[in-house]
Amino acid sequence: MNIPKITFIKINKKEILIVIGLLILALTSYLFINNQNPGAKVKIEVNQRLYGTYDLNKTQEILVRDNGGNILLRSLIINGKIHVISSTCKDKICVHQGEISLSGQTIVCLPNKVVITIINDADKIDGVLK
Amino acid sequence: MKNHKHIVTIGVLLALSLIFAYLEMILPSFLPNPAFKIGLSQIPILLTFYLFDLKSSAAVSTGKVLMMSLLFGYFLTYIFFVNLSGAIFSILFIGLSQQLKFSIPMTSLMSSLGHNLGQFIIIGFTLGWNIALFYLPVIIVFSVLFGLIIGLISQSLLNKIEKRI
Repeated sequence: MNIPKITFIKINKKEILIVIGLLILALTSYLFINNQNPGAKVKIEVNQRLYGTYDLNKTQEILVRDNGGNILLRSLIINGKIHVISSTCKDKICVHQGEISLSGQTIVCLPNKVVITIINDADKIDGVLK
Repeated sequence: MKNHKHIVTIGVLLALSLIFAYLEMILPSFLPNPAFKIGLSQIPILLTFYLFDLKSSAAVSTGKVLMMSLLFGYFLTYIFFVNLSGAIFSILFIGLSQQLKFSIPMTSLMSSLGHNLGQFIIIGFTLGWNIALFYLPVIIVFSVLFGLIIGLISQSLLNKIEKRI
């Protein structure tokens, strides 16, 4: 087996500049996106369609179903926070993500294509309630 | 394919990559979102790239996605395409850093960025771009951090491997 000689290139200025540029990009986009206000409502979308919006201050259990009526996941709103109790997906990342309560925060269940987003009252809700 | 040793070595590296991917799946994540991974399975892919060529590492990378989906039963589902897109973009970014003559840690960083970018593109088109944008800053910071760490591990491994040959 003739393995080509590995050329070890040292980290140079160009690369350090790229890393710093990336970190600056991350910081600026963080400042743009980040607003740590407690949200008022919860928006649930399934496959990019609005499933419903719910009041975050009312304790309630929400069953999210697909078009065929099969339950995709169960979520619970309690003490102004929402978390996913159980889901039909395999990796259960949405369950392990825990509680969210600040506006802009999301719980995403990729296998089921369910997105739970916290929104402010002022935010416009486009679409029709199901 | 060049010779038998080449094929066998790539097979072993693919198996190693699968083991790392499985370990990452079962170990509890200490990162803010449990979906984030350190990227240990990128080490064998980087080793393949430096020991052989880009084509072989592309085979290991797509092979890893394919085998993982078959092992854990999500072949041809939505998650499979998200992972496949990540693997393809990470290979494209490794090729790009080869053209730009980047060092090993930087190549690893680029591949980790490419992996996330590829996944973002699929998620953005299917679930909306605002979710992808919300995670952008965190993703960049973790890509840089763990990309460099994985790159440094690969570099020291390559140093040791080269001495043995």
